[in-house]
Amino acid sequence: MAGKKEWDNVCTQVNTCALTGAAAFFAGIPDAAIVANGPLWCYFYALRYVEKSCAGVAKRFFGTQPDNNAVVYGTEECLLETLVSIRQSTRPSVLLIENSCSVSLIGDDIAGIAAQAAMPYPVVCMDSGGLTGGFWEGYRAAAKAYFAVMPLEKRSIVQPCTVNLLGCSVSYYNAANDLRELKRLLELAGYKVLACPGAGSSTAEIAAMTQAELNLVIHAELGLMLAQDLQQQYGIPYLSLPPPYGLAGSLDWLNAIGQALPPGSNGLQAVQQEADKLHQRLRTTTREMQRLWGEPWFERSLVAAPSSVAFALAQALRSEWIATGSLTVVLHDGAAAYPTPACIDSVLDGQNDSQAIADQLANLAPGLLLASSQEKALLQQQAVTEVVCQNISLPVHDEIILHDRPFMGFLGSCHMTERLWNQYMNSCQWGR
Amino acid sequence: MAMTKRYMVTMKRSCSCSMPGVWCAVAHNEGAVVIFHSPKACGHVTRVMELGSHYYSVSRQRFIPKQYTAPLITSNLQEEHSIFGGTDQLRHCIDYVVERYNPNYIMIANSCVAGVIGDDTQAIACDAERNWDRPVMTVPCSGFLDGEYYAGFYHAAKMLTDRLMDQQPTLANTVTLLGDRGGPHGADAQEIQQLLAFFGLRVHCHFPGYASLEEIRRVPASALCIPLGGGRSQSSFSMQQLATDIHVRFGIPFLNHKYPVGWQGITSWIRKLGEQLGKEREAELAVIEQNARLQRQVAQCRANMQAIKAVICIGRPLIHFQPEWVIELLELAGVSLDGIVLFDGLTLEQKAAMRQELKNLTAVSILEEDEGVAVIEAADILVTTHELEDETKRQFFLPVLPPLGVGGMIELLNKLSRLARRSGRQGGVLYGW
Repeated sequence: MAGKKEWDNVCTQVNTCALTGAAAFFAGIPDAAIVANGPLWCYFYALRYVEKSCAGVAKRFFGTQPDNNAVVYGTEECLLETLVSIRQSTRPSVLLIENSCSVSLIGDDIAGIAAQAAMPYPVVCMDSGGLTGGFWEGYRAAAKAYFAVMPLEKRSIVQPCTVNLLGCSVSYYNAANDLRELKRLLELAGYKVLACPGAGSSTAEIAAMTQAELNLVIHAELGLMLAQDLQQQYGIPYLSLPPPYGLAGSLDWLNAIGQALPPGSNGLQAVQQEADKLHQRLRTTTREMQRLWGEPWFERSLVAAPSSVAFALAQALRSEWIATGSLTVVLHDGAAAYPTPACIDSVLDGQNDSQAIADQLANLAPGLLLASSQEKALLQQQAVTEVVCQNISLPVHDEIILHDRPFMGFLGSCHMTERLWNQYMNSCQWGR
Repeated sequence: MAMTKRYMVTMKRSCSCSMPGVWCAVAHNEGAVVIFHSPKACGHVTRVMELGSHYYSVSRQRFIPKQYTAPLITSNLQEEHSIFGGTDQLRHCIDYVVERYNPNYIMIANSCVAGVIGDDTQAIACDAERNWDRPVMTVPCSGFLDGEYYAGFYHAAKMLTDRLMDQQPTLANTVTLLGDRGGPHGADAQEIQQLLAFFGLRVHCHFPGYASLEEIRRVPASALCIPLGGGRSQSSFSMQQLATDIHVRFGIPFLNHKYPVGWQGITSWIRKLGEQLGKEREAELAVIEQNARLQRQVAQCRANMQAIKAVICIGRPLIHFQPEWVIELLELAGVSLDGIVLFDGLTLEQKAAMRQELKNLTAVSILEEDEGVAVIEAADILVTTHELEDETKRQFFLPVLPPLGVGGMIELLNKLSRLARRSGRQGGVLYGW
């Protein structure tokens, strides 16, 4: 029987549909509009998912609602109807038409229908249902399709000390705050960020991204392939590093960038000064608490998130934030583009190791869980208590974030230390 | 002037998928495994939906740990299967599931992809059943094609009825509740049990959800079946149909009546049950007690709702929204209903049907969206099927499935009352579930 693991129990997995992933990339372009050429159910699911981190996207995200007849005779009628309505009500710079899985099987000439509708802006057409994969596959395919239709400016001017950030998504947990911190750190170090395709940059900003000296891949599972394509097509070099978590982790990240692209003036010195100041503050505050509460210690820790987040955050957790016995990492997307850090004891494939994940969760107490509401629900279903939980990835159903504090970077390190310490002290007082 | 609403989509065609319905029907049935003959993503989407329900029950202190959750396996249809078919993939998947989980039975849901490809899932299920000597069932729906959520739910239940139940001697005064409505620990099931107690009836099975094999086999021993659903919705049709199927097969009577929603609906439901059981006196006693329970709350609510002006805003077609209980609830609360606005998301036919229904219930003005701007502007509270983006208005968001019984009415009255006491400047939405 070929690849038994492919029939793993999805109840322990975290993923969604390629339709959602593709929509997430275009949702991150503020002047783009999206049409899901598929059932209302699939459209609403994708909309609700993306909307949680991209408020207001409903005004530029539409669905065509094909019915049984459309599956036989094609979606031309309902798609045209939707396109006419969009043409009358909005004026985006680019439009994505993405087919759901069943619609993709019909073989409609989507580009032809779009041409018939005479949309006065570029239209990107793609199949993006579950047949093509999950969130990450959809995001990557949408990025590729976008750059195929929306050519960049020729790389005739290159501005010194400029970078683009690739592989960021508004649909990662706390992504907007993380992105702000990354830009702040890079600017402090003497770099200027030109564009973040799929994470806030307009079509005009993306078109000018060829002026950057370097493409920085933040989440490899989303942006590495794009970086390779852009290097091949436009000659923009790239650097793919695990994202910066922790003070030391963030310094390492900036130093690695500095080696590839030396910053001007005293950038790295300014960064080091800020890191030293924050380190001093962290030590003073946590030592004071340690006198009363002892050192936070977790017999077992489990970190579950998209691979880039999971690896980099687990490293910061063990080397900077708290002390733990065994440390297991679950990669929501299944596999990582980076080598496994030495500090991690075991790595589980979030798409294929359902039984091992269930076992790890069942035996986690007394421990620490840095994951999503999905893993926390599995703990609750198994009545596992004595676990300190902290959300670091989607889906999240049991926490709201209204502040602007990141998880990444220097400020993120302070924030995570604060959260972990407060959770630890709470658990001492009220039980876990 | 058009008002901006959230998620305002004209429901022209199907609006849900049958696969989550199949999943919900058996997700917590001990010994069951569910296979989606679909891309993996369909399983993920369903799981995320289930996760929302989990936190909903946690937030209301109704969550019960250690409940059985069926493994949800997807056959993982991929692009290649659209050319060569996905039947071999499904066959191997079933074999794996039996070897790995040794289930009591397998329920297969078909995706729209399987429907478009034209896989004969029924034939695969029959073969697998012969090979593995246990029920392997499937439903005649394919994703959003050939039926929606409730079709999946109904057909899964029908399949369990046909395949797992045999005639049993009747156990006096026992009831099976048909449908979900938040499961056995949900508020609706509790409310119905309270009403049944007036007649000396006890619930001995919930079906099809949260039922072990033993409980499923006990259903034919019931003295009565009570379908749970809501109004004229698809959930109502499907559970009435299930009750009819069980009646035809096992001769078990069922309460063929509108659900106990709103006071008129509740009294009518109680009296109908009393009449059916020949217990009219008990029914009248139940009505008196429930009325007293309701009036205590109404008195409190009216005190908070005095001089409140409300407008009902409707964007759902009649099949998804019955205005009768809403108008009654506002009258009970002592609210002045200043108008009813039909949102533009409704088609002309849907608007005409809704107007006709409303005219039978009230003399209040029924306005088109552009005519309703002023009356909405002047209202203290909007009682609405769709959220308005302008959150300066206090909005009460109406549930698709209204909660059952006097308990359900009290919950809604409490929420309305809280909304009325909220500062007008605060605005915002209060969800009625």
